[in-house]
Amino acid sequence: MPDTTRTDLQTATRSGIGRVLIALYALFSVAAASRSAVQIGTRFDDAPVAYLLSAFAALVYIVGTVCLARASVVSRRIATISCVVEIVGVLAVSIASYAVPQEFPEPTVWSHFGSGYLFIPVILPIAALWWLRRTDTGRTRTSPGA
Amino acid sequence: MLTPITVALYVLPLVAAVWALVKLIRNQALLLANRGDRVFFRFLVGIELLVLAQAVVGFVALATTDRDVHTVTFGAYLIGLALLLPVGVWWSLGDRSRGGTAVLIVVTLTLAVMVLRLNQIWAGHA
Repeated sequence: MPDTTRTDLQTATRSGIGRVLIALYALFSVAAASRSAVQIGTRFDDAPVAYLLSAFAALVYIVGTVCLARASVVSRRIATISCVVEIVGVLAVSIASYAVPQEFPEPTVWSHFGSGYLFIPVILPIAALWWLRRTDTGRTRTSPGA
Repeated sequence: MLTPITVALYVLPLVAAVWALVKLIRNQALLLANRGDRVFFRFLVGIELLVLAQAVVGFVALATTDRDVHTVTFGAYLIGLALLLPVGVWWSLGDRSRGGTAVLIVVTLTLAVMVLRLNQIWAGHA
């Protein structure tokens, strides 16, 4: 792929709404990572399931941040996969937090559809997937086999 | 802790958020070549100085208090707050469209929420 196309893809992914999405992913990476580090480090036995899920959420956010910010063809593909994992994770943890509340004595980032975080956790992966699709230059290319 | 700083750190980031929102609606990026935007930038620097003052006061208070405060969380918030604006404004300035302005709204609102959380942690709600 010529360099100009690669730069275009990076610029498109990183600007406008993409800029905000990457900022939010970075914020949630830091929030989820610090929160789970404190939880696992100081009171792991209180709710091991919830705290390990917090750590997993942190990992997903970090992958999302790095891959969206790198904005290469490969990293965008990884970001797409990680966003799908993220939306499945948010929905699964949210449903679990209502079904087995005893496992979630205090809220984690993904429980209750992210209600403690303005529901951003449930909106973020959907917005990111939409943005990746919108900025996908390969999709509009006329010669598919190129 | 020190109430005047806390109150200022609720109000000023919200003022900055509204300022950025007005710019967003008018479809303007933050460009330091513009005089008005340099005023906005200085306003943000002023907020950062207050955040740093709060960090000093916070760490001193943490070292001298005999209250039951969650030390690690409180310290992490003080450090996180000090880094938020510099990193956020740097990321915002990298985009010369209104996307950068939207980043400023996210960053300033996050700042206000984190100050609120900081005070909840100080009050003993970890």
